[in-house]
Amino acid sequence: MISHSSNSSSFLHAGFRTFDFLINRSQFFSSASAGSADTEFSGESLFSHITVSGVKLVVCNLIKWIDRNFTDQVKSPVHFYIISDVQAIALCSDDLARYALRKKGFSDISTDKAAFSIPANAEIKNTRLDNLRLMPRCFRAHTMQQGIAGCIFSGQRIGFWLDIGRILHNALEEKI
Amino acid sequence: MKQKKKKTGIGNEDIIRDAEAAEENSVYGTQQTPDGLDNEGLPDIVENTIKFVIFTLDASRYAIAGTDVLEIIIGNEIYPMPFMPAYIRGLINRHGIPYAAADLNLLFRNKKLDADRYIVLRDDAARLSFLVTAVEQIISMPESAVHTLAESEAAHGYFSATLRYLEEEVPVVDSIRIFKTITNDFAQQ
Repeated sequence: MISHSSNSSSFLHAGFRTFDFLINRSQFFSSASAGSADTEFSGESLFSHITVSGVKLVVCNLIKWIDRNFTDQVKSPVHFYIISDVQAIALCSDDLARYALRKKGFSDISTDKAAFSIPANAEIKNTRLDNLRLMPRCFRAHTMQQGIAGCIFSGQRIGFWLDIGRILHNALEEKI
Repeated sequence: MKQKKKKTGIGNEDIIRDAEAAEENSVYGTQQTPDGLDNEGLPDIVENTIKFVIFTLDASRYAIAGTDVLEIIIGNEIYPMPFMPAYIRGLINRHGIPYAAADLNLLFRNKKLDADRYIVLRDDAARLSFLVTAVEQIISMPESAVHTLAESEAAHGYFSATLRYLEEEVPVVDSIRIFKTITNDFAQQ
């Protein structure tokens, strides 16, 4: 059980074939549709960029990350983006700044905001915090380090609670 | 697509009841004195017994101390997890709480086990279960029938002892050592 003063909180839920993903609403502040801010992800890179309201943002392709790391292959198209303040996802602006310096075409990206691609069927739901579970202790630190903070069971399905800040940090580390 | 299977849980009370029944049937359960002698006229010495759960991985028998076992679950689905070594097959849902499902067959013999039974360990903090082919019996053994392995004999650090069961020397799984092995494997990643 995750202890918290409040009984429930908003999470973004995205469903795939055999599992779901949850992202805490507190980790992002806005969203943009793929139509209004379209972008292309080339090759194996997890990164692209979009321009929203005149601000160029790095985009971390969460769908590709999921496809790469989970056994259930995901071929969902990108339909919108969630936008995070780097402080809200415990990411250091320097991570983005260093990436911007080294990656061609990213020199003018914002270093205090980042976007994440999300599939079409994502929705925000009120989620009972006492249903969220941390992973077994033998690998809890490991999975948290990889960006999986915990999970939730609902009927026969499992939802993985993602830490998008950690995922972006790791992806940037690979690229820097 | 993962197959949805019927969930059946065996609780603590069931394990105790089964253990008591097994004690009645065990070759050791009623053998309080050697050589079939009764207690009359003998010193009042009754040897302590230890309960073990006898289980199989494919056709190979193993034992685990009954005190290490919380319950036996049958048929739960395994939810695969990324970033895991192969012997961690994923998570199982035990009353809404994730337990790691460790494939001991992969750990011991590098062979993936096709099974749907889990021995759930009592340690709440570890939240670890062992995937097993079958749970054969719960028995009580006199302490003298359990042969503790020297550190040097404990193959790969996975076993703490052996015991004689059905004319076979059965290794006793050391759940604490296995938990430490798993924890160390992750610490090294």
